[in-house]
Order: sequence, then C-alpha cells, then structure tokens
Amino acid sequence: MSEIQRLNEAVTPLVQKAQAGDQQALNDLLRGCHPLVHRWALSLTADPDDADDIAQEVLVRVHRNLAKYGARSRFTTWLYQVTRNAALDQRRGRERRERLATHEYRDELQPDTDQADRLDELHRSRVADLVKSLFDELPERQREVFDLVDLQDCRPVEVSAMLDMNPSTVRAHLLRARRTIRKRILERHPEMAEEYGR
Amino acid sequence: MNCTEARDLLLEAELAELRGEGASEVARHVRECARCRAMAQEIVEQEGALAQALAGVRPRVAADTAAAEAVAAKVLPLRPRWKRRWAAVIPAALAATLAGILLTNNGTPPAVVPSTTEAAAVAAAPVVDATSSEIYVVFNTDNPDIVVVWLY
Repeated sequence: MSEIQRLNEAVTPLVQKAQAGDQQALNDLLRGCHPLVHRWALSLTADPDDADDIAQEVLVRVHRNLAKYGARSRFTTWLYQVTRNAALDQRRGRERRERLATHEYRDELQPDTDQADRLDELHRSRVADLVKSLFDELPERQREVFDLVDLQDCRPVEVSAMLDMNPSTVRAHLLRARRTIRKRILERHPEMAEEYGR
Repeated sequence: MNCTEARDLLLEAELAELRGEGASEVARHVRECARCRAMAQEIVEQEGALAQALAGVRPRVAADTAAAEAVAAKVLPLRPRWKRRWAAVIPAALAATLAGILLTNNGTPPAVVPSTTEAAAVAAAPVVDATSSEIYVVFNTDNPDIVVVWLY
C-alpha cells in the first residue's frame, strides 16, 4: 500500500469530524497530512526550504477551505491539488520577487547551527542536487507522474484523478519520464553506455 | 529478444520487470542475461536511492507545530481587500464626524450668524486642512467657531 493510500484511509474519518467542528480531529488531520504534503512539495520544487514553506501554507489552506471539500474525490486527490496550487503560487511569488531583487538573499544566510543541523543541511542539499540532476530536464507533468507512480507507488489511475489527466496521458508522461531519467542514470556508467551502444 | 531490443525496453519497463519478475519478454530477458540484468539493477537501485533520499528529507517544522500554526492562522484570516479597506475607512469616518461635532460645538455659539456675504466668501476660498482621507474634507473658516466637515 502506498503512502498516499495509507494517508487516505487514516484521514477519511477525520475529515468529516473536522468539518463538523471537532477540533481534535482537525489537529490530527493537519498533523497527519504534513509529512506527505512536504514530500510532494519537495518533489514539486526540488528545494527543501521551499517545501517547508509550501507545506505550512497548504495546512493553512486546508484549514480555511476544508468546508469546501465535498468528498466527490478522494481527500488525497484534493490535498494534492491544494499542494500544487500552493507550489505554483509560491513560484509566481518568487519570480515576482526575483524581478525586483538583484540577488538571492537566502544564499547569504549562514545559519548558526549545531552538528546535527549541519548534517541535516548537507543531506537536504544533496537531495536537492540529486533531484535537480535527475528531474531538471523533465517537464513538470512528467516529473509529477514519475514521482507519484514510480517513487511513491501510486497507481496510475489514482494519479489520473490527482492530476485531472486522462489515464493514457498519464501513461505517456510516465514512459517519457522513465526514458529520460533512466538514460541519465546509465550515462553515469560509461561501461554500460558503451555496451548499450553496441 | 536480443540485448539491443531488451535494453531499449528497459528504459520504459515497470520496476517489477526490471527485477525480472513476471512473464513479459523483457522480464524473462533480464532473468537470463547477466549484462542486461546489471543495467536493470542499476536503474532499480538509483531510482530507489532517489525515492529514499526524497523520503529522508524531513520538514524543519514538526507536524504538531505546523498544525498548531495553521490553526492559529485561521483565527485571523485575511479578509477580502474591499473589506480590509472599509475596515480602515469606517473608523476614520467616525473620527472625522466626531471631530467635526466637537469643533463646531467648541466654545460658545457664534453670537452673530454669518452673513450671506461671509458664507459666500468661505465657500469661495475654503482652507482645506485634511485631504488624505478618501471620505472627508475639513474646511476651516475665518471664524474659528465654524468648521465645515464634508463627508462623501
């Protein structure tokens, strides 16, 4: 069972209670959503810091708009769409700021951290590099489909609903994404690439 | 199926097929060919590493804190812009009205009602004290006991 299916099963009873005004259910719902939303945001942005901001924003939006969720789709489908919108808004905001600013403020920050934090920082940085190196050339839709299906074990039919996309289009994006990423993986091994060329 | 065909299919194959599972041609080839199996394993390992790396990045903010902050943010939701603008304007209008009343009632009432000529002069050359508000203008006259507050 994928993480998405697990979350869906866990939060479905909480959603109705939270909509009815149960504060504890609301807290449990938001707390339960946070890790997966952060994971999605990380994939959408390839930036751990942006993922933190987006995850927080998504929880606020879920809280504000929970009444609008009508259970016509799975909760995780709705949640993913909220996350995508938040990521999109964040990107637009950043582009707007970058047009105004001449340099990136964040790059100048040197946080005063202890060893554990520095290791965490290093890991986050490496992951960002890894994600960027494999994902960067992928169009956004291909990246999303590949991440959800191959990395998060989501079924293509679920992804079809989450992205509001025809199943055959999901399949086409997935195959193109796999081809791009796997070629890149094999390019790191010249001996394999050489054999592949024979 | 030869290796060239198989290696092209590896680029699009399901992960189970890359592991040699199932009855598809590519899965069977992976089981039988060591070189293609090595390539398939490399793909599985790298994609697994990517998935693990992504899953290994934890949010800086704990879920409990994030949820609490989201709930706190709901307490003071941002209202639509037109509501925020009116929220600022209404107290200003009330303050201006009150100021006008206080100023007009300040001191004794004028002993002499301004003549028509004086009123016309005031109307012709008012001194505008406050122009910043969108909803009122205060006109001072030569007579300190008469202040005109124009709300619009």
